Amino acid sequence: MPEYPREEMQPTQLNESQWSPSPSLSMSSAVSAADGAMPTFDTEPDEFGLFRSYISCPTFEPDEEIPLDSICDSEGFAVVKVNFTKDWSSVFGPRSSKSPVESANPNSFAPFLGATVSRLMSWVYGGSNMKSVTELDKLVNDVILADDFDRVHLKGFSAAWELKRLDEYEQHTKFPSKDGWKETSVKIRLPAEKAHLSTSEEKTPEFEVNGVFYRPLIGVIISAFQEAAAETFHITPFRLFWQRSKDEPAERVISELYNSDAMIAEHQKIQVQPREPGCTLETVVGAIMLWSDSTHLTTFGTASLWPIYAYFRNQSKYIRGKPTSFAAHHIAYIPSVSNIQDLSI
Amino acid sequence: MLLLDPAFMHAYEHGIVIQFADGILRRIFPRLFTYSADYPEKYVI
Repeated sequence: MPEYPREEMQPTQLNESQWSPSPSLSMSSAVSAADGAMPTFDTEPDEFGLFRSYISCPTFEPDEEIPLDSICDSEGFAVVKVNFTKDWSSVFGPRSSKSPVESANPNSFAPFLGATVSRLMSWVYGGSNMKSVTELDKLVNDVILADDFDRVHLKGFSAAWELKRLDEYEQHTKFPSKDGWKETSVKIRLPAEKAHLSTSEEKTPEFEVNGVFYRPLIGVIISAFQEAAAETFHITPFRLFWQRSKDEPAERVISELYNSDAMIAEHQKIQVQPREPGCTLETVVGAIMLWSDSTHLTTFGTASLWPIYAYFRNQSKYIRGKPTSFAAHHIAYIPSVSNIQDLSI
Repeated sequence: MLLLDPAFMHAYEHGIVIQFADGILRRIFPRLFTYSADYPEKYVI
């Protein structure tokens, strides 16, 4: 983690509510060693001798807002409440991120019939599955003391019945289309046995995979840049340099996509391409990275999922890598195919 | 090529105007960068 000055890493320095890890930006136009004649906007070197060299003047500095405890973890650190924390369900889409408990719409307690039962069931399945003292606190504060808690609604309550309701609901709705989810089928070509090498791929057997759920990328991009977490997005790429002392040449440091050559090249390409008619807005590269991995959902049993997810590389890896920041956006789910044997020709 | 639908391709070419969390409108050009490795929680880049 080279970008952050050493003495500010000490927990005792964290009394202020916002801790700024980035050096102050001096707007004097300087000529960087790597760039020759291109004017750059250089920052003052920090305690480590690291400085940034922007190719265009940044309009926004995301690292100013990042408190120390959101990029590293130690028991001694003061924990600052950050406003870009996301709900776990936000990875499925913007609208489903509104949990039933937060929403005022009575219909959103589905599949449960009311707030009381919904809160209770959320408590059972939320948080830790080992019910601890903290969980008991949550039960009292979030469920029993909630304004919309009404013991009348619990008359005739049956956990088994409510679970059945939940199971049926899942089967009917799967992924709600109001969150932008679409169901489609994909045709794939299969390997043709005993076929000659010159056989065209068009003649190989085709297999249709049904039940592919996906979300069009545009909706994902828009929601990702609009949500509060976008305050941590780097929208102007820069080169990062390290200079041991004034007499030595600066050395290039690459630690993120937004200080890599690929991102800078793409940024420059967009800067020079003709503007959209009448548009004077700042142009920004939205760096998307797609990942896919199968995952087990349970410790015992066979429930598994194969999601394709997108991360935004404008965000620092230290934030993206934290599971609690829910930086992944689920894009699609690959169904498992079992009846492919039937197709053998 | 499910994800590269016409809406995305239009945004790829012409950008898409989004109001950021800081209230400023900016034109976003989505670009796909790849980095393949397992364990996304163990990023090095």
